Amino acid sequence: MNKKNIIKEVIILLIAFIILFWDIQMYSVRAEAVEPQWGSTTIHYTVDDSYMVYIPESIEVGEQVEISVMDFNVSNDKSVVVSFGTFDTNDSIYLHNENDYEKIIEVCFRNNEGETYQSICPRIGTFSNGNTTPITFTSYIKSTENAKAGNYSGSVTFNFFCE
Amino acid sequence: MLKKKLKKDEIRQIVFAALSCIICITLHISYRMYRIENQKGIYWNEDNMIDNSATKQVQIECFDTLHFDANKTLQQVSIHNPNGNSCYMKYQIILDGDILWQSDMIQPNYGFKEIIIRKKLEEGTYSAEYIVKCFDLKTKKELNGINAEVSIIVS
Repeated sequence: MNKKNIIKEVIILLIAFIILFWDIQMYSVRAEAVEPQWGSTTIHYTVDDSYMVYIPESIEVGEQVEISVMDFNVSNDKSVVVSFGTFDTNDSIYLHNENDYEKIIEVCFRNNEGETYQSICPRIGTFSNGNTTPITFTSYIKSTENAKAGNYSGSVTFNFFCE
Repeated sequence: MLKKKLKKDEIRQIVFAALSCIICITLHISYRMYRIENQKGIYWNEDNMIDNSATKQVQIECFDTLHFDANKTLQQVSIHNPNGNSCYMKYQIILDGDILWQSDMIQPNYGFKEIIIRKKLEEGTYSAEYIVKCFDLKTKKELNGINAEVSIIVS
């Protein structure tokens, strides 16, 4: 019992010493800090470019198509380029007959100046901090010659990248 | 005697509460992992809604950088189908022509905060494609979509 008490007392004393020593150390650090100290560090943080795009769900042939952006948070030195994904021919994409997939008609796209977009230069437009005006273009049927009667549909993929 | 009984009741209540908590947490984690592993997305709880159904437009969030952890398959992201859309979205991340990750068809107001990619990546910066395909809610017919270039920074 006595031994136990002694051990307890020793432990308490040790803890007291540790606390005291710790406090002295802290105090000495504080004392040193009184001397004027100068230095600097650089803090880096990057907010990634992001934006919300609005594309048409589907394209009605002959109607004007609009692509726009919102919440545009892109660095000033960058712009977002929009282009057509893939063309099925040099200048058109295929719409497939809903009842007979093999039957197709070709759809082309032209800009507001009347120029048809080509697969070698599919760029539709760009968005930047100074210019987030919606981009517009129109689609038209290349040829309906020998086209089978029925409804035709297809989808377009738009490419977006920062440059 | 009464005191002893009270104590026993209290212990029983504490054990019951603890067990309930464990069961709830296990269920929650299992459900979350099921949603992640099956690429189904989680409820996004997005209140501010811009209704795109009238304009027949699709709203898609784009970014040019993804940050992944090195040598891990579970990654943190923030990808969701905005609440105002009236279409499903299917997401893909393509790296070197291979699918690194793809989702199931995600309904509006659902998305991903965590994904499991198909292979672990080492530290570095990778050039990848972020593809978003859209599908009609009723017919599931494919609509217009986007393909964006992204950098994956692995650290």
